[in-house]
Amino acid sequence: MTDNWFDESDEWSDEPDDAAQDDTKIESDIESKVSDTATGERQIATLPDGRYLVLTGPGAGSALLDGTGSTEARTSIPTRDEALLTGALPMMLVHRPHQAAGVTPRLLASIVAATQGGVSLGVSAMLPSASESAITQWLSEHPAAALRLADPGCYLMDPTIVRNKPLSERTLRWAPYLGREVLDMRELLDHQRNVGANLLLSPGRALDPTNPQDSLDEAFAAADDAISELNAGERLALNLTMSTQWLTSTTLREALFAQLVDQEQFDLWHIRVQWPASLRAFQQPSDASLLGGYKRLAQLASDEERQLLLPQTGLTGWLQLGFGAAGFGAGPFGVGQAFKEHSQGGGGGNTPVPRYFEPTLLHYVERSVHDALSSQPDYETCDCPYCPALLADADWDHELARLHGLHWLGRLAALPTTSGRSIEAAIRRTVRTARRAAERQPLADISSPQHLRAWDPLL
Amino acid sequence: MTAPRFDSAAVAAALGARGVTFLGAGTFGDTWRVDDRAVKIICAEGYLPQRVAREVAGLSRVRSPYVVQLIDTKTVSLGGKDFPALVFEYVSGGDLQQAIDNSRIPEPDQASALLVGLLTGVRDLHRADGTVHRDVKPANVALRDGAWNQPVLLDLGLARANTETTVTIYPGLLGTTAFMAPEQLAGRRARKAADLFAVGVSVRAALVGRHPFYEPGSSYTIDEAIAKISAGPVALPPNTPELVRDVLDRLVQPAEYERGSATSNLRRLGIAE
Repeated sequence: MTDNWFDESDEWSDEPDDAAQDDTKIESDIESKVSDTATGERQIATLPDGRYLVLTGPGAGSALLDGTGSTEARTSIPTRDEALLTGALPMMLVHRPHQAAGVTPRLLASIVAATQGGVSLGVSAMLPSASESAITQWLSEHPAAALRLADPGCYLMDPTIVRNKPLSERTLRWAPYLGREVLDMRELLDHQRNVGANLLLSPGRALDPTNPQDSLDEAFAAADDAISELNAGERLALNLTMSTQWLTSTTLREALFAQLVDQEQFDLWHIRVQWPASLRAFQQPSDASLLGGYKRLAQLASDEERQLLLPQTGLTGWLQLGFGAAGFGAGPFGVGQAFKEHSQGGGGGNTPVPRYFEPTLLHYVERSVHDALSSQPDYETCDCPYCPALLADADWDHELARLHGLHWLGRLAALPTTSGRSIEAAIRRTVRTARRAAERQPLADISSPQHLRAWDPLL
Repeated sequence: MTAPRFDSAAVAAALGARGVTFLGAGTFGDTWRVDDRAVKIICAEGYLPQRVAREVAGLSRVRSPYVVQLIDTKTVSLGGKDFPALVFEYVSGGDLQQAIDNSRIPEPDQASALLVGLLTGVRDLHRADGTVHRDVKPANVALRDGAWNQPVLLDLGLARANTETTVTIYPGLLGTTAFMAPEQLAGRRARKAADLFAVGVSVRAALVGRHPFYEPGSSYTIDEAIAKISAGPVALPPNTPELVRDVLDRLVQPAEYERGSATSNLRRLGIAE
């Protein structure tokens, strides 16, 4: 048995051509297992366009024209611009999974219901990951999402800077611009528009640490070109991709930060940092210089009133909310929670380890550890829509376990609303409580939340 | 004051004015007062036409009470040659350099107002398509009617990239290099952060009556000057308001990003958009 729930075989590039058929099957399986209310009551929330989002009960995650017969929750879904206001609610982006993509609309609704709208949600799909029609459909299926992003992922053109799988013929078919010598900005933006994105991204080529200033200039110039191609009412985020050196090296970090502060036309930063391949599944980075770099970046964004989005960062991105980041990204699979270097030695095909996200430990523990913890008298059983079926069945349902974990990331992002504290205080308290809880348990190996020790000095 | 490059009678004739008053000489030209206008004649050898175009373009985009208003551009014939000339509003009341020379030290609230005015001017410039002044210094800050709360940025965009090998602190803080940010001294590009550094140095100089990093009458190599900046400025007067102190400390940080933007520093001073 290997620890491969998040391994390379889960990358989006492994999506089969018939993924849509898989979605239908898996979605229906999950649908029958989810229990979001004891009574089956249908609860709804108002959408910006006047329709209603079904939060719980039949059709959860979908939109209704008429809310008759439903209970209206005291919450409404923000518009894109409301979500992007400085000082607005924390944001969580859910990345499109490579399989079972149909389960995410309900997941988003479950987060809205559990947090009373305490987090602004977004959905993000990689354009090179699927056909235009599949992405269009997926982005349109999330009325709970204020933000819809279609990431051009142009860092895939830079294999000498960030380590990715080689471009396949299929990827080039889905994202033909990746094969061009020169990017056509209008084509790139039109591709995003065509699939329904409402927050556009600049190309996101990887920044070269060996040629920092020229590389920064090129990335920002491309983003300037993108701004010049915007239509009325459109919004664009500066999209940057980089190796960890850009946050850990003082010289590179200062060059990056100076450029970010100087170029005030970009009020939204969508920044992706590639973590080392050596990180195991569910393992958060604990390198103090990397975490310190993230913290400084988040503080810089806050100081300068820019909105920092950290896609594919999971819990580490969530932590940055406490330092000034506006949002983070996560997904059911590993690629959504960590943007890691591609490793040749993937463990695809092995049996995944059953793991469960323990909210009080801020960590995914092995199922056996969860069983031991849950037998303790003060253990609080999870009330998410996925756990009744997950915990009742002797056979571990990895899909339900993933959704439980993602649901909880949304709840953690909403801590300011649900706890009544500032986000800094709420996160500090949650992390410290988790660390104390972990110290009381005999946790070892992959079930040990080692990241908490690295986080503590930052708080 | 440096002597003008042309005599006043020739300049008056060229401008069609009854009389002109010499206001000062800059890197690339002389500035003359003509009635309620200040006319800068770009008459030095080696000026770059694109720098003049940049100043005109930058100023044309800015509407701010803290940035001198460009009224017109013209060509002036002097000594058988044609020179470009920029016609500005004349801001009476002297400049910050003169205030420092005369040992006029601002009170705490006046220092705060000076800082807010300069940051607002710099913010308004920076918002104009990212225009960077590059040569903020006390001699380029007029005090309208002598008031601390009405500083006006003059002389935009003509500063050369630094090719000097020393920083000399002449009497009266004259000279551009004395107000250059470390990245400019090192020959790197001057960005918005360089203007913020110069604002910080200028306001600190007004508050303490001397350059905050360099000893009067001394000369430093570029490396020594950068080391001086890294070592930190001389202390501010104890009655400097805390918010002003915080912002002035940020503005003179060696790392560009730590200076923040004009907008964020104004916010720290309690000035909302």
